[in-house]
Amino acid sequence: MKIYNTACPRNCYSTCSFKVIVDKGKVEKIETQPVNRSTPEGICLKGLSYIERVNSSMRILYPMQKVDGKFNRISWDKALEVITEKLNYYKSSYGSNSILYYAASGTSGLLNGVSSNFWKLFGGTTTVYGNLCWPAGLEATRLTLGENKHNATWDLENAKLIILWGKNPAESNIHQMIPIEKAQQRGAKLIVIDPRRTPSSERADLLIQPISGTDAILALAIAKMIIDNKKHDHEFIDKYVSGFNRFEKSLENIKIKDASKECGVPVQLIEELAELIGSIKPMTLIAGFGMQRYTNGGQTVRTLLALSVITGNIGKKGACWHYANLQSYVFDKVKEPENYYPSPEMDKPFRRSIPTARLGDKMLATRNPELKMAWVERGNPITQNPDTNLTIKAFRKLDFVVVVEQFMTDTAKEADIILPAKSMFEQSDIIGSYWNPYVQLKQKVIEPPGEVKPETEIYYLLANKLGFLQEDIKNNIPEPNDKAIDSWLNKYLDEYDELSLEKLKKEPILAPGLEEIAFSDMNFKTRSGKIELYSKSAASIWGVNPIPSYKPLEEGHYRKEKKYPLGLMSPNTKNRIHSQFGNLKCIKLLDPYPIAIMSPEDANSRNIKSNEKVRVFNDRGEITIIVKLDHSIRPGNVVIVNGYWNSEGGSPNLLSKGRETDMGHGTAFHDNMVEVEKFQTNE
Amino acid sequence: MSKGHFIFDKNKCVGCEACVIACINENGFQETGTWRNVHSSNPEKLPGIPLFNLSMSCNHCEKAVCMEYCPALAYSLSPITGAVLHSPDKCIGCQYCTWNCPYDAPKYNPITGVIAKCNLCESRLQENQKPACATLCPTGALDFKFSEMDQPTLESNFEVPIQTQPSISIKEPLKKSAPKIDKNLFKPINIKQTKNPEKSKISASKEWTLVLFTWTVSYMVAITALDIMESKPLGIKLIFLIVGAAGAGLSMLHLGKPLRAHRALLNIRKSWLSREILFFSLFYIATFFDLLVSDLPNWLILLFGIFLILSIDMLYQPVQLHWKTKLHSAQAIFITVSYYLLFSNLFWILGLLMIFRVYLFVSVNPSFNFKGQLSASLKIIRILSIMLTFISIFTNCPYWIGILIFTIGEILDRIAFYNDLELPDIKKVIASNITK
Repeated sequence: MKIYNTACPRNCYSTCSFKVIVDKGKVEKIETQPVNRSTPEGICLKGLSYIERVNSSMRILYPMQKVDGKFNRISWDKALEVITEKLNYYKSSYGSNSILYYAASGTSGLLNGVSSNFWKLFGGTTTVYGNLCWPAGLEATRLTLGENKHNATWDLENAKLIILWGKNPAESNIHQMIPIEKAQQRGAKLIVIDPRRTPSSERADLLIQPISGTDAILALAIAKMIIDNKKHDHEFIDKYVSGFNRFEKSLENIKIKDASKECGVPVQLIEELAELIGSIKPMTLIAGFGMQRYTNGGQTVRTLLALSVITGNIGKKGACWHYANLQSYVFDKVKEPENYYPSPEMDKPFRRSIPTARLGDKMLATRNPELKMAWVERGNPITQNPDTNLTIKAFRKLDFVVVVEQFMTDTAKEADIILPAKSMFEQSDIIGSYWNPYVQLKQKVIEPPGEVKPETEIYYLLANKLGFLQEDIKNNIPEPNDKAIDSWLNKYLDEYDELSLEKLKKEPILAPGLEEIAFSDMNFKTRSGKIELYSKSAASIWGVNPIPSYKPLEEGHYRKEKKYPLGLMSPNTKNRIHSQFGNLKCIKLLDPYPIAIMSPEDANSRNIKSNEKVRVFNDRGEITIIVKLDHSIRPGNVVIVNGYWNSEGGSPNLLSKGRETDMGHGTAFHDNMVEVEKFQTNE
Repeated sequence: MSKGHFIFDKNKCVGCEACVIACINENGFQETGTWRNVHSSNPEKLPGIPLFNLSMSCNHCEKAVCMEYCPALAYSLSPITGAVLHSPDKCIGCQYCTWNCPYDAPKYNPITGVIAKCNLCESRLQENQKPACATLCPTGALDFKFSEMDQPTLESNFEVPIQTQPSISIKEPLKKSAPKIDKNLFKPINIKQTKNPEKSKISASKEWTLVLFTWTVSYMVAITALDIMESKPLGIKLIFLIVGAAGAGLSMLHLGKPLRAHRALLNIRKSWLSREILFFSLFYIATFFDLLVSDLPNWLILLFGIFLILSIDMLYQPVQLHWKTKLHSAQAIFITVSYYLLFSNLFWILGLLMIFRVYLFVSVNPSFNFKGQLSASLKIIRILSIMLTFISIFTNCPYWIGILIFTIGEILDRIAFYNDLELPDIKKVIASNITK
């Protein structure tokens, strides 16, 4: 029996450290790793489900080829031979850009860079730009503060006012609830702003439930009240903020009554919010990742951030703008969000013609050359990209699809060849976190089961088969053995005295150069060197109002019309990371089938009862699903959590539209109106 | 090693259910019922009403009723850790512990036919490690201490049943109210209307063999008291015996492990279920012997019968927790006595007893909870049957018609008895504490 220190590489705030116990080559148990101050207790239920996930009988362990709609096991030799032949064929007949290389956030780590290296050596491919999740907010923060960073997670204990604006850490970042609870024990107030009553809001003092997508007008109304009541921080603003006067002036157009009506929050509650935000310091404003997935997402985040700025709640103990903390990504030369739209010169020979936000329709529309083949790894675009029906159509139009996967996902089912993917325990890698400030080693603790090969090995074998120059292979792709991987990682670690594989094997290490209190030096890497409430770049790069402002949602008008009057919310659940984990038996025990959640009021008016089957639909698609009633959700919303597979009954992306956010090339799939009706069988 | 205890902090639990998965990782997959559950005090999220979570599994009580009343002695106390342990190989699958435990800790597995439950991670404790659920809680809400619990903590901060002295200390929340909201967003709610009545784990349709068994036994004991069987022809005697045996046989089949039924006699000292089975066996064997082999003193058989009826009534005590009185109109003893009075032509006493029973039926018994209109009509039929019985007595109706009508009423009443039973349900206890 051996105990290893490791960390979870999922696309999740917490990025927990944990210990894994291995016996006779099998992952047996998970225990806590209290050294990580951000995740000192146990890991979440998904992390615990790794015991099943890694040992699951549902795992894909061998290369498989689809013949007449059925997957048959084939040898690696055969798989690589077929793939090599196809790659050579498409490259020579149509050019390498006829191949789409698609990778998403399924697992993080430095070795992911090897994939890009391979495709560059191959001659470049078509690939996506942007990101499904958070770039609108990242860009909004970058434009305002210059960088995406926030105080160390434990500093939240020092806050006297905590605002969870559109974030539900009890499900999406459970370890954040620890400092929140400690702060409350010390007398801090907690405000939650969310159309839903989430588990995070149960201990809150105030729960504000605006109409979804109207957060910006609510924030502007609060800002106006704070400034009108002279509760803003003059000294801070004078010293560190640029564009305050223009912002103040723009607020003259805000009529509190109209704003209240637009966002559905009574004036009295807006006043209460303004009073609390204006008078309690230090305040930490925590914005979630949901709001920026609307068409107005970037500007919305800028208006929220303005509240932290005008009250001087930046760069101090207990006071920060808490969105994303990229301080542990010490190895990235270009950080998010800028690497989502790299300059074409630097990005050569890739062709970045497809925004991931509009994967389906852009795949179909791509010409010169049009797409013939796709390679998918670390992602499940059929379920997770917007407009599933269109994405499926685009994939089915291709001649040849390779998917590297652990399980038979909706995307894997579309493959011609499936290559078995490693689990987190089967190859070492270095990971950072967008929340906790540690650099961590995710250790290899077992040999891959069956014939599973890590992606780096797949690429190594392919590179040799394709006849890449040995010199190039040596510089760009590690040899398929543990020693080569270790020395590959050491190349990165050697840059920092604090870091080494030996140290990281023992425990997580705080990121070199970490600022526990972000921006405490009041050094802002913006054009003006100040916090920019007025941002010329916002206008020049994205064509939006240089001042944080409110713009109604593209589909918002449907609320007042009869056709699709309900806003579909597709938040994350504690039971999954996007489309991962939900297929496991132990998760199914707790979350057996997809459900839609709506208010009794909306259900009654549609003659729908709890636990009945309903049809949720709009012009893009429909889902037949069991409905549950929630008495505390704001009427006018229906919730289907993100990540259900189509094979389970339906991903909410069957209903979403491929749209980009107003900035950052994010994906605005939350701008999504639907109608719900009782399910009638056509008999 | 001193007996440890769980510590649960309501401020910290967010209902993430990591404890449930931690338990599965440690103790194996729990397909038919997880050993640990996270209960919500406001599962419907009624606006303005607070919501707390409570993570519950076995609390390894000082007065472990599961262990005390298990007829098969399948439970034992760990000499090392003080944990209340269950041995599946001794379990007969009678599920009586699920009736007795106030925390819903024993989980019956219909696939294996036996109970499974938390063992306090006995092997971890022996290595000085806390139970998996308590170690791995992501927020530190569930914890474990390797020391005995102070009694005062137990008294002061409990909202869950404590008569069994559970080894858990619950920290009450700093903030007991729900967050302030815009109340105008929601229509006023009638709490009673919105409550989704949870299905009770026990009902007449599930326990129909028990309805049949208890009615048959009550009837048999009444007949014994009358001492009328001696004069009956052999055929009647045989039918009488076969019906009794069939009732008992069917009840036995309803055990998860019928082949281990003999183990049900192991806890005569403490378990009314063991006593019921003992007295049934004695009563039945004595009757059999008396009718077919050789005379036994009737008072002896009757004594066995009376003890049998009392055992039946006593063993249902734990599932009557929420009744207004400890009496139901269809107690086995009432059925027995009623038949006795009917057959003895003691009509005025029968009349008084039936008035009392109707009173219980109408005003004390929980709702006759059949769904829909059936309920009301069955209620009426039950009461009609009593009236018709008396009418038949005082008119020239054939004797057997009166008995048949009376019996229909008695069986309906006994069906009501089973529908009125309710297992002690921790979920409901928690929810009712909030809506008070």
